[in-house]
Amino acid sequence: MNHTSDSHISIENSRQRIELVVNGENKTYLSPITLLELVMRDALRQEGTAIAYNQSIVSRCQWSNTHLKDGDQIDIFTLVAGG
Amino acid sequence: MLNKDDIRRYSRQLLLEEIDEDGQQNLFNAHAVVIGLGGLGSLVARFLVGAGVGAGAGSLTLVDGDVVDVSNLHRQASFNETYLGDLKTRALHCELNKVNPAVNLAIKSQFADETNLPDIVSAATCVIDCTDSISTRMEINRACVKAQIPLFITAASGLSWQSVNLPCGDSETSCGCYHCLVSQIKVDENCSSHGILGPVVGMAACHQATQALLFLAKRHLTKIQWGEYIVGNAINGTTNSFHLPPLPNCEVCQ
Repeated sequence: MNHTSDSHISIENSRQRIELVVNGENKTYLSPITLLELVMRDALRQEGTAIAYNQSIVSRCQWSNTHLKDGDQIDIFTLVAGG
Repeated sequence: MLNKDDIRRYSRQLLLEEIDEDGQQNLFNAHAVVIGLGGLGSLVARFLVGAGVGAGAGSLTLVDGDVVDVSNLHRQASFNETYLGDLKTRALHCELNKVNPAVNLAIKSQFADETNLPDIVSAATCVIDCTDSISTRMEINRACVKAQIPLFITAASGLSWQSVNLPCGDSETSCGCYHCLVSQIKVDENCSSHGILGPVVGMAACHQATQALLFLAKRHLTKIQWGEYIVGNAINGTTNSFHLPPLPNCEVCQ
């Protein structure tokens, strides 16, 4: 019997599933989850990345304390600078 | 009071309530500054000159230290092969004079930087940032915030374009500045490293020129949106708009 694995599953089961709209697509995540954790979980490129949370841009320093909830809308885009 | 020639020249835009005769006078008397004369700036300037910006007591200042290169011609619609190797300021001055000689054009054949920007923006009604460098954009933002001058920023790369209108300090709008947006993000995109399709930068320039003209015509009575960051996708033809809030303790705007 693998106690580590069982306790991991138990913790996973106790976490609530939430649905987020990420770049227009419905996706399911386990709560609690922050913006930074979402970026890490989905292995998104962070260089040049900006994120809007419910249509308001969130500074990089606030990603880790922005806690996501069911129904939230996340838009991830790459900043451009050319002219 | 507009004369007969003015009414004939500007008749199509005078029909718009967002311009009308009062707005046209404001365009004549505006001091607009376009920084960067590449794909964005050369087209923005063309539209502003056509609309009569600076054709009265005002002026239109063109700022760039670059020269016309053959690799520019696919997207920088105001230039052609006869200008290869020429300063963009001089080439554009020559072309714009053919469009509307009544506009008081000023040229500054220099790259904008922290030392010359306070002078460049000092008398501006608005500044239009058409550069292609993050560091220059941040310096332009800093100078405009300090001088409380509205700033119109647009950028394009690949098949995407982005834009934001930033108000001067006395606006009632609560929004951040360009520093709030990019200070913690490393952005290395520019046209030379990621490519750009000519019409995409043209779409961006058309949006930027429209926003600037609506502001210059009606100033703070305009209904344009401040502090909304627009992300345009040229593949599927969509745009999304996101509010740009002030960054707590922003060293530039807070």
